[in-house]
Amino acid sequence: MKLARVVGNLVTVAKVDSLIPVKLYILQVLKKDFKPSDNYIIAIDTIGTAINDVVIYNTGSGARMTELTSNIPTDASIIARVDEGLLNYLVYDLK
Amino acid sequence: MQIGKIKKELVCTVKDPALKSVKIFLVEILNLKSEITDDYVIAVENNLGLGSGDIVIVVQGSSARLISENRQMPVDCAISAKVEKINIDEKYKFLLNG
Repeated sequence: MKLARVVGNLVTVAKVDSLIPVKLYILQVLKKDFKPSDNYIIAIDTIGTAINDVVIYNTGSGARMTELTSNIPTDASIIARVDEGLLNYLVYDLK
Repeated sequence: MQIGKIKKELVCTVKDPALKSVKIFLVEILNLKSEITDDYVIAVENNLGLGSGDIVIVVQGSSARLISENRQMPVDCAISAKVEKINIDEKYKFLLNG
């Protein structure tokens, strides 16, 4: 599991049937100082996140352990949102 | 999951029987700027009707076997969807410049 910031979403057309009801987000992986790293990952939203949130994502077969994703071909899922209040004094200023 | 661009289809006459119904593609991994990186994967696709040049989502690991009814395919990388649009929020456009 790692920290990432939600920076965008994906619009898909032809897809596997089980992917139809889910939302796909683009996450920018964060370094331990909360600054964006060079890596991105596409993940399925299981908790209701929005653009700009700092989230925890889970990779590998563990990504299918949530109720929503148990039958979905995904190797990355958003499993928690970090409270903004906690991050405020640490978070990288994005202006 | 990562975003990739299909380079070409690989035609394989001799293959595992479980792979009879799927197509095999060479997919180049893209970065967020939609540029091709050095990284690539061989991925299978089941009945999505894709071809060279399509932008797709690549799923890796055991999850790749969930793209078809047959959960016993000997694969670790698959294409789960075709991407129509990549939306990056205005606030994070700077990620595309650096």
